[in-house]
Amino acid sequence: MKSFSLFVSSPPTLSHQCADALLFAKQVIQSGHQLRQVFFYSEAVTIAMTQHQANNSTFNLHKEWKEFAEEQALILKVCVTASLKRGVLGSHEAEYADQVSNLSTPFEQVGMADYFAVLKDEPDTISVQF
Amino acid sequence: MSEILIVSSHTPYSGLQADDALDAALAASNVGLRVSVLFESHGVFQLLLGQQTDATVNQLTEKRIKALPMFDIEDIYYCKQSADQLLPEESALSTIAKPLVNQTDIERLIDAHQHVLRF
Repeated sequence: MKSFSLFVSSPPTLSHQCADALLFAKQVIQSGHQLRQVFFYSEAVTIAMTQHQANNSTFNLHKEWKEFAEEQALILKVCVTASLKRGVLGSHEAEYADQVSNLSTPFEQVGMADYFAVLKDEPDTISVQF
Repeated sequence: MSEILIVSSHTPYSGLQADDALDAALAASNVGLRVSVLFESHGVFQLLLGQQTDATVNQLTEKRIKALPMFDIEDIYYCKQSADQLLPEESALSTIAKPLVNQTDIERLIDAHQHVLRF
């Protein structure tokens, strides 16, 4: 069994990479491997925003990621620095800024060190970027 | 073996990608990973000396790169082919980055790292 860490940094609305990452994540599980972590960075952090809506005929990537993570009891890590730069606010940051949170669970803001600490502590984990 | 290579291929002030790459390098170094950085394609513009700040620029990329060794990031490279093709002649580049002359050098650098992140 292999361990995978997914680093998603491509913009969800300008490329298919975010959707490819989800397909990859599902395949990792189906193939009996471990999905160690999923981390959203750069433009990909906007996938965590609750305001993502799609009409009935449109693939809703935000919803698909949420459902997948809830099924797998997985936290979707979102870089706090990258998300604040792009207007994605968790409850703590929203309270501090007197704003309303627009981060949807199971997306959760973490420091970027979270991702790299896993690579450091578990050298066998395979980091894959989308 | 160096543990992670950060490849930065965007100009410094055209978006957030250049800063994202440097942020990633610092975060990886902070947890104790050995970090190398490669500037290639339009990323070589980040190495130009004499960058100037204005109201739209929060931090000078030139200064951030100069500070990398203070965070234990000393393996810094750039693609000489990109610099030759994209930068004006007589451009002054930061000497903090060592040139990689050809594609084989870059392939060797990538092969020498366990993880690679591209920005």
